[in-house]
Amino acid sequence: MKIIIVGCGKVGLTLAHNLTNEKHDIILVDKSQLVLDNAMLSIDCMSVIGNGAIQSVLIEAQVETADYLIACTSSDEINILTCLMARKSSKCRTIARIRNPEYAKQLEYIMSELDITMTINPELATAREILRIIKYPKSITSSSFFKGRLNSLLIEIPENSKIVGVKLSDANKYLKCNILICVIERNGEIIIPNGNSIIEKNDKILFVADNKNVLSFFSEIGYAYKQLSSFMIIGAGRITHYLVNLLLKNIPNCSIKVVEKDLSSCEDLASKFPNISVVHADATEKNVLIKEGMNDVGAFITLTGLDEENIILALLANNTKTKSIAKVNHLNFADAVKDMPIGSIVNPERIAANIILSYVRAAADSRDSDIDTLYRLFDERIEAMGFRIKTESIVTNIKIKDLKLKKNVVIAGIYRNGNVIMPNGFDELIVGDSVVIITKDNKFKNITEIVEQH
Amino acid sequence: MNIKKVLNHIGIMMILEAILMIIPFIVSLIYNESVGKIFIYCIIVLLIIGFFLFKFFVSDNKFYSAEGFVTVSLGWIVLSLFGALPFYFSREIPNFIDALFETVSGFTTTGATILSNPSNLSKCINFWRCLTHFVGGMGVLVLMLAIIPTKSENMQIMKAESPGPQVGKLVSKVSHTARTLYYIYIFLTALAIISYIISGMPIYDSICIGFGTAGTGGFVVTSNGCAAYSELSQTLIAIFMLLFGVNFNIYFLILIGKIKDAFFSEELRVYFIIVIISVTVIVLNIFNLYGNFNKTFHTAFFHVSSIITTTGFAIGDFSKWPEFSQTILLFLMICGGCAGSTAGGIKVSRIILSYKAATNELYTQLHPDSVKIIKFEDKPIQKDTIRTVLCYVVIYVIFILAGIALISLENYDFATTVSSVFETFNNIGQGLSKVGPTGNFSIFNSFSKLIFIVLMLTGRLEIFPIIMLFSKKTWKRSI
Repeated sequence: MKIIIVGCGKVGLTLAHNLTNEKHDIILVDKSQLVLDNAMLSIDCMSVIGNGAIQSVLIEAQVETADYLIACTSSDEINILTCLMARKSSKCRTIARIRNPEYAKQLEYIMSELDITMTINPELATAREILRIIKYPKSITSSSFFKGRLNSLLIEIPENSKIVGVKLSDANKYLKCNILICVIERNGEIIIPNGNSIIEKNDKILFVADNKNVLSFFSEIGYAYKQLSSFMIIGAGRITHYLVNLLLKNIPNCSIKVVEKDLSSCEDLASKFPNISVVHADATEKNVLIKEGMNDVGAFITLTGLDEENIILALLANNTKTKSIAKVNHLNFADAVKDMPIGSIVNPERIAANIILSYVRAAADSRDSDIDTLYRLFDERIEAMGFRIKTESIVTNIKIKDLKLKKNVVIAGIYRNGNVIMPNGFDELIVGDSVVIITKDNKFKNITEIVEQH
Repeated sequence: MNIKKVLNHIGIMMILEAILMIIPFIVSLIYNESVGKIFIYCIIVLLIIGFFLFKFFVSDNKFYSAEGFVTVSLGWIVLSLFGALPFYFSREIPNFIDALFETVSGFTTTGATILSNPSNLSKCINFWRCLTHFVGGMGVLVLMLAIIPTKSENMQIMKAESPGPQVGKLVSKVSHTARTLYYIYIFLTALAIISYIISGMPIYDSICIGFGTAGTGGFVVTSNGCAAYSELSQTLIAIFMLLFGVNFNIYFLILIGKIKDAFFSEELRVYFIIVIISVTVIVLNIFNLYGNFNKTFHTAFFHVSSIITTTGFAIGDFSKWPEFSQTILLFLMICGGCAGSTAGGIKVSRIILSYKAATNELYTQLHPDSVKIIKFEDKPIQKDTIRTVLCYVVIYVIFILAGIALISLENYDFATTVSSVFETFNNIGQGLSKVGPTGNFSIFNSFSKLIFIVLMLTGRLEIFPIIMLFSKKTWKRSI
């Protein structure tokens, strides 16, 4: 595919690097010749100098023939304008980085009105990633469908879990929770299980469940951990705003303390979230953190603007009781400190780039198909794809147990009228449903291809 | 310095050269020449060494500009050394220095020769000699990039091998760019060869002269050069020479339908203006010699086209022209064709940029606080690019002067000394006086020939790569 990337910051370059390695044609647009020259030395791409929001620049970047345009300059407004201009002069799909929390509320409107295919907010994505780390610390990866209502998680079964040796068809009765185990990895081999499969210890499993059932499943299989409920956050930037919001919504009865040295930022945050405690202090000063109870919190999250400060503070706080999470922007730093005793490291640029990458990859693979979302798991050996059923077909209005599904195909979830249905053999697919299909060694372009055809 | 990777690339180049040598071998079969078996030996040697380098020097390490420069310059030297083997082993050019001179002259598309009568060579050897022009014209490494699957690092190679101050890509992938360039190149060459055949040239000559035109080389296969062909053929040769002196990006623009952009190219306009003015001035100056306008125009146009594109075909002895016309030709030698073409010389775009930089400098001397941006092809040019261009011109002059000093040891007349350095360094192959259309380079001793070999390689690779090869800093561990 031909992809134009406007803005060669960390996100833009990470994207360009990965996408060229995946054989896409990349055209970089940036205002600075210096940045482009440096990029061209290591990335096999073309470059156009100029402001991407100017039509002539976009035309020089051959926007007419491009499949995608990704606007990731530091300015939301330029990104929006760039996407708008690109849509006006070509049929390419557009992805914009929009990070200002104030625009978040009208995001849907902006997207539909300006025909932007996807927006990415690195700070919000980072906040979500931190939330995931806090909520499901044992999961290896997780992805979500139906706007976050259905999750697929990859976990390792602990040795003495009570689920070991249980037949899958009995699992839900046995565990008192509603989940669906879709894939098992055993000694490097990938199995799509059926009802008679038995779970063994040290299996890695991929299961889907809605938010409520994920937690109960975790505790049922023996990850008896207490939900972290007290958080100390250093720094009151954008990520903090998003994170506090997410924590308050997703973790009941949590207590949050934010330490920030800028008074107006403190006031801003305090006025927005009256239920949390905001402390105006310099976290790097001696005893401040001890005084505020650093050693008693469940998670210690450092989100200041300085990578060094984040790393050092996180090192200071990490102990058996407290899990520390540090935000590190600089990619080199993130690589250098990944073996240090810090609970987790989040990198907003990498998170944003990965989200866009998986989207573009999915788009490249699902061209001329009905796939809405596509994830690749287990080193890309398993595909999880979301379909929307638009018309009546051979798969609709028939009980799932009566469908002659192809080998290694699982219907993992149905989304109907705002509700998630964990399908069993007696459910039917109807027009208007969204469906998640998990499969191995199959390539589908259309939902009807999941059944054997004669 | 990642020498393993460099050697790996050179291994690939040698395998490519082996493949190319199959073509003259086929020619030897067609003409039933027993000397053709020489090529089989050379192919075997190249394949063995090439595969050895390719197999045993594998490295995934990064590739930076130093490696790019060394790959290109070392690659060209290796290629020339092995390319000289057929001449040497067939005993048709018994002296190895002479054989090397002839090969370097071929690959660098110079066209200077030590042979007084090229038609004495066997057909297949002569074909190989002309084929080196075709390969060298667009660049061997560009060919390599076009064929093998590549990574981003290869922009370094492309930059080091392609002529001109700014190397752009036509499409976003280096390998696609290289392939596109070769498609255009092959298409134009085929067009040239076919039109030569139609105009009545013998097929063998058409192909050889076609290669010479395409690479802007200048090797001929007859004893009296292009004078042996009809006037129509000569006109066609002149036109195709001019076409190969044009930046290949222009053809790409035409190919993708941006014809307007193509014709409004600043460099293209200046290039044609230079040609028109030179032809006019020379026609006026040499009119007395020929007396007939058609004949005068034909001769002037052919030689201007031949010299500015640094091809070096001749249909008459322009050493007999008045001094003024010869001086014009000397200027054209320095000027050369457009950047991104197969021509040599300083290149029209560098001349334009230097001129603009100079006028700018004069203006800022008068108005010290003024801010001026130099624009070329309607785009602002970075100060770095200007600096590189000016440095290039300075080093260019130094090389010319050093070359003249070393060649003057031979004690030939001034015109011979100067023009011989000009014609080798600018890859023209046609000088004045003793190295003019009637002379050749066999008059020089081995030392001078080695100097010419260095000059030709340096000129073709645009100086920097060769300097880098011999610079200590390139080889040191980078600190």
